[in-house]
Amino acid sequence: MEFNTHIRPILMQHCTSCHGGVKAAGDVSLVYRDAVEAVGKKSGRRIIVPGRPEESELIARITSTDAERRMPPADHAPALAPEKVALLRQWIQEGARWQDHWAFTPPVAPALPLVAPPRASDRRGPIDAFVLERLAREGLAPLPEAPRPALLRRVSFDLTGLPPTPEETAAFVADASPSAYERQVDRLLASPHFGERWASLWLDLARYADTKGYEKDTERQVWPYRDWLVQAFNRNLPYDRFVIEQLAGDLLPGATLDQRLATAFNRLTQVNDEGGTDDEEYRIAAVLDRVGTTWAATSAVTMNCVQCHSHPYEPIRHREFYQFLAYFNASADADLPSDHPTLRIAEAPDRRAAAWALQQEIDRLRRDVVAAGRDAAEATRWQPVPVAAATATPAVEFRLAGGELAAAGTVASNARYEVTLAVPAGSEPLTALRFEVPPDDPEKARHTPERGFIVMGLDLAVVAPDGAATPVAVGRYFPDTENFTTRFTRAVPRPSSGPSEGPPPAKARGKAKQAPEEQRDVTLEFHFAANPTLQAPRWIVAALREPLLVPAGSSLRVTVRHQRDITSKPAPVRRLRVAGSGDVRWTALGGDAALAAKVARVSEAIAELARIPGADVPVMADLPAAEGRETRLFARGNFMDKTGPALAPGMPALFPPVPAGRPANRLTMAEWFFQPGQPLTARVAVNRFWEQLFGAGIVATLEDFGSVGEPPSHPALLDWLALRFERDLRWDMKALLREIVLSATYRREARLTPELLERDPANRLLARGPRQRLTAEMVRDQALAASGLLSRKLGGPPVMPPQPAGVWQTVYNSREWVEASGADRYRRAVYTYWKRSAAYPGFLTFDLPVRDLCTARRSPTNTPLQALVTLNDVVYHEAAEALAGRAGREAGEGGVATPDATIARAFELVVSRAPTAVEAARLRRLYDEAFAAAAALPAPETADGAAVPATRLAPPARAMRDVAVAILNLDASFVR
Amino acid sequence: MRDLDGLKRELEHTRLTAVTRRHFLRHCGTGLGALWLATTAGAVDRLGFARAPAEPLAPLPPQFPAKAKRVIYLHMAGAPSQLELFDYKPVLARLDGQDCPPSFLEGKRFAFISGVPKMLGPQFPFHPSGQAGAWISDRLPHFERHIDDVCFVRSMRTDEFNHAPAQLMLHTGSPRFGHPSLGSWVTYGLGTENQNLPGYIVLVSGGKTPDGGKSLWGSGFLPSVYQGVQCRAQGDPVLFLSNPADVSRPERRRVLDAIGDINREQHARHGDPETLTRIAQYELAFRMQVSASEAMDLSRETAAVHARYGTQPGAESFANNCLLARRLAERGVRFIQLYHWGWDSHGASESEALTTGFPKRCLEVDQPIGALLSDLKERGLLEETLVIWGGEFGRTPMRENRNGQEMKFVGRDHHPGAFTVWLAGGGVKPGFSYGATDEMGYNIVENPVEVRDLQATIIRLLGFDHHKLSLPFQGLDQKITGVKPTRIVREIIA
Repeated sequence: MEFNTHIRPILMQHCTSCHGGVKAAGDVSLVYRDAVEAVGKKSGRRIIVPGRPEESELIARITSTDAERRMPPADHAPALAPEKVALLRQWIQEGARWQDHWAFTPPVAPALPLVAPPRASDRRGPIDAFVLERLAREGLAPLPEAPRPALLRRVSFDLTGLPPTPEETAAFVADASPSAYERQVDRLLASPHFGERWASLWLDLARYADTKGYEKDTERQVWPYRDWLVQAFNRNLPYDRFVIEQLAGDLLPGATLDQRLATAFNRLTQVNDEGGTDDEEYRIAAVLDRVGTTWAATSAVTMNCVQCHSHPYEPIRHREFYQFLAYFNASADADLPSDHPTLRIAEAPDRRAAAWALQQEIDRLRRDVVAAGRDAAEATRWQPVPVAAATATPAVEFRLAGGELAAAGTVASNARYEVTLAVPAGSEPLTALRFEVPPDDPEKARHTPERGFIVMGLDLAVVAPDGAATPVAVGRYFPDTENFTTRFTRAVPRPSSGPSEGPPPAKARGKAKQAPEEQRDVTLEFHFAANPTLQAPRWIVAALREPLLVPAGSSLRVTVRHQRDITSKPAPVRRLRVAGSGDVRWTALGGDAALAAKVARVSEAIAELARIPGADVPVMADLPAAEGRETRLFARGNFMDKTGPALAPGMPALFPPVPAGRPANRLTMAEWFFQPGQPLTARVAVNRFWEQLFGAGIVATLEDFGSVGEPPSHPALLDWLALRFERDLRWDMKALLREIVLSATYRREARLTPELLERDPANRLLARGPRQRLTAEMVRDQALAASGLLSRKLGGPPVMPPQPAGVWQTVYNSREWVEASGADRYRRAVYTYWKRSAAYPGFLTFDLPVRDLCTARRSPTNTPLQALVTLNDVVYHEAAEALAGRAGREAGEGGVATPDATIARAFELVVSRAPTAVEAARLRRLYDEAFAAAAALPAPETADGAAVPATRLAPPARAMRDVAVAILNLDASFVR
Repeated sequence: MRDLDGLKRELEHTRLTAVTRRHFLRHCGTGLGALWLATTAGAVDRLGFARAPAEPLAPLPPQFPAKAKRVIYLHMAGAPSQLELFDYKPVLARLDGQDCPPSFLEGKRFAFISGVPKMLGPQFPFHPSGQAGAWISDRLPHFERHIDDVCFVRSMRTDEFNHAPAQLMLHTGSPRFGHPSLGSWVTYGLGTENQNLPGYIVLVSGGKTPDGGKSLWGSGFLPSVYQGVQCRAQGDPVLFLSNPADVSRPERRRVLDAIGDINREQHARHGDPETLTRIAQYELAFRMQVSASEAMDLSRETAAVHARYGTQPGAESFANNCLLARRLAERGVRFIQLYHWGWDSHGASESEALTTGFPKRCLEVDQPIGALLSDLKERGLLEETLVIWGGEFGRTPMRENRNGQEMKFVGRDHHPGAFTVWLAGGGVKPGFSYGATDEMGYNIVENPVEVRDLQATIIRLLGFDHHKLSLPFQGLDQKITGVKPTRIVREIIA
């Protein structure tokens, strides 16, 4: 009697929809292990008494004849079948031993089955032993190894996404050495195209797109992350490093440029730039998505179920979702249109190091300057400087209380506050003023932030009794953070080589000379913003150039300037308090030449960086500790309704605990997925690779290893592979793939006998080899490769091959599809520009997911729209013409090829084998018919009676193109 | 006696449904069938939507006898003001220009309104109309002739106050990208009657795609074969429908014959049923080239029809799309979705103002909607076709004051709290009004209808319990109505 085999299915089917994680009627939940000890609320009796079914309330209730007491209630469902009752009774009798769901228990090394293979070649390694053992039990015989051309086609597509060339096939067929196949596999694993094929798997999980999503769906430059993926597969980054770098590469000690770039994985969430949206709502949506995606990608656990309530059927509690969310809630991104924080990746590989060095320098200098101000501010004894009066243009209704300014009602975008400060009489000369903007409700703002503000400038002046204002010079402003969410620029004279003095140039001398200015980034000189939200008091210190004594009768005035909106709404300061100090260190800091040099260098370095063409890739970065957010549970998943205490980051109790002493951050979280004893990480990974090669996972539900996912078809094989990957191979992805494709199981012929069609139509038992439809990417890449059009260039910005006009048509977004010319027209599919709201139609039709959400499994379809794509899309039309031309050139030995030779060559280029006699004859018939029809066409009329216009192909070329169209559309061309 | 007949019919229907579903489940062990079998294995009490792999859109009978066989959904993207069309508020007219009461503003999130806005009265005169005396403004005279054919729901509300999320909410049940649209669910559940045309067709006008983009007709986590197919006024009506310019139809036929012959031989050797599916799909594509072009060709209609709709063949217009909707309904297309963009009357510009852009939009849709309803009725199609009209949310009774300032033009901000939709045909009560808002048209005071309630009601009219039109994904039996309590609005069902 086994709980997982016999009892859990009964509980799942009949009990947990009321006594589960979402609903625990009568406080009874049969999802958690402690159900065994639970006491019924009404009866006061134990639900289950191990060894004593008659004392167990569960048995009493399911067998009760009293309609009021019976479970399940009569109006819900009929009574349990007697055999199920008997099972439950027996299970309790035998001690009611609970088992965790198989996938939540770490794999145990299985014994290798001892099976006698029908043929020696049927068993090449442990994988085959597990498969043969099951086949023997089912009484099925495995098919023999596939013919070499078919095998090479299969493994070439599987490893590189491209068909083999006829020459590669011929060489393999001719290779008599025992390691002939191994040599092919090693060649393919070493190909630079390996990464291009395997990146697709991860792009689906990473919800990769070249745009940000939602209404405007504007461009986001994330292609360097796609290239990182391709390279990670090519350089065979071990799977644990591969995942850890994507989740938390920025937190690794001495993080490299590549490791920071990898974290773009979790910045591929959508950003909503629609005017008038609530940025906190969409920041939260992105964070929730990261939680779901991280668990889906690493562990195939449906963690997103736990956003609103405890998991309906896995033992994961509601609170645990938010404890995990706390790992991600410290991130600095906030649904800003700029996608802040970003990392600049130079487009030219040889300039990447320079761009990276500049960014490191900028970060270091910024930290120095901000820290200098922050240290001084902390050491300063601040004295309140009360606000005495305030006016604004356009008018604002102010309230003054406790010396603090509060704006009520409506404030225009460009409001300018004139705030009069009452410097206490007799105070020492002022050296610095601190301006502070607190939230309306500081306690609540820590977890539920308020609307932010952007101040464009703070101008100080002493106003004499007669109204005359004398500006007060500020030596330097010190912001409170280096998390610069808002960029401030100023026009500065452009450095010029010629004489800059003299009269301004005349208008007629051209526009270029009239613009001697450039926008310089001066964020470090002035940054006073809580953009987009305010969650803790924010401040800025103005260190005065000289100590200031406000004469009696005069007043100190500060002008607060606004201009910028946050998501199309005004972003004014709503509360303001001011403090002053006479501490002399501020005078020194304000005039500190070394600091000034650093600030100037930052502005210069930013300008240098801007001159290196590249992409600003959104990456993960955590907020400075002082700005950390509090995480609380969202009642029913609603971010507007938080409840309970602040939650520290943590893992669900179902899984192994985090080792003691580790910091509670994302890196700890990422490494936790790879600590020994993790039940899911390795199993989920090997299952994904397996599915790519065989068309179905050992666990068919790639996306769900939980208790409603499908059980594994070969449990021992799954565990063996998982342990092999984790321990022996140390997460080496190429070694794992090599081991699988070298198995006899993978190499089998893919023929469906009537018996197999009846017994195992979906090939879950693996008596035959896989016969999968090409993926969307492979369909395109095959046509281009076979026709010779394919550009083999690796990496770079996404490209726009031809697509029908009018596919892109998005409100408030002016980006247009500009059809590529030259080699970029024929790049591999993985480089095609992917716009979320209007994705490349040819790929959607072949089941590439839109990638709005993490997608673990593509569902292959077979539709008439697919036929229309490969028959009529200009890409395939061009490919057919090129294929016909190429085949003709290559089939002819020094001269003109015969139609038969050309047909055979074209067929081999696409289908990776010679045509059968029937196929060759049928295609030849098509050629002859097409030739006759083309020759019979009336000559097109042209004005001058000249020959056929160049656009119309001559009959032989046209007939051969028709043959090429047919070959590209054969069933055999769509499978691997 | 009649009751007995009805019962018999229902029993027979139930039996047929069960037989068909079981048949498909048992006999479709590959392709899509296998996929669904795999994903639904172990599940209890679910309907199966599996089909032979060659016919992913084969019609399946609904769970219950359906009142509507198909849907024409007229979505006014940008959200038209209910207060200028159907929700008459004389009190609001009297309060025009006065400060908005603070109770309207507390705890509410607006897209653009800030501070204290002014109330804004209806911008057009209203009058009672039809036998039931439903109030309507003077902007829709053609539509008004059908006022006794339609059922108003004046108490719609939604959770979303920005366009893209609200449109997604309405059409996919979720404010985020990635969920299947209503049309996808319906074609997944019912298939379509005409295999030579897509089962779910989308027609867009107004110069822009709606804010939610193509995700509004996406298939989300359902197989991509159920996504809406956008038919276009320019270029191929369906993407890739036409042969390349220098390929003739006989030439294409010869190629397809060769492909078919070779594929049949391939099947004889490998035995993969997917090969047979592919043969069938190529033939279907060939037929679709003709049937879709024919269906989308408005020049086949008479001058009288064009005069009635106000159509001009070749143009991208709502009028053309209404006429196309009728042609597609006639040809058995299951779900016909129209979007007409440009109703976002904030008052930020002339084209966005209630007094200028808005009446223009009314002119663009009024005559075609009137013509569509008349035409469907005359052809006996209205009874079995559910026509729905509405936006993604409503508009505020306050005048928008962007940045807290009076704006140059008159407009209203987004308002998720109340809006009006109307339904006609397909089993809804004609000449009926449901639900009410308060004197200002701000809050619902009677019979609130959530977006998910409307979805559940549409699904019920098509013959399904919305709980059962579901697919397991990410650990949940996903359905368009989500997990919150949902109510079928039985009161509006005839």
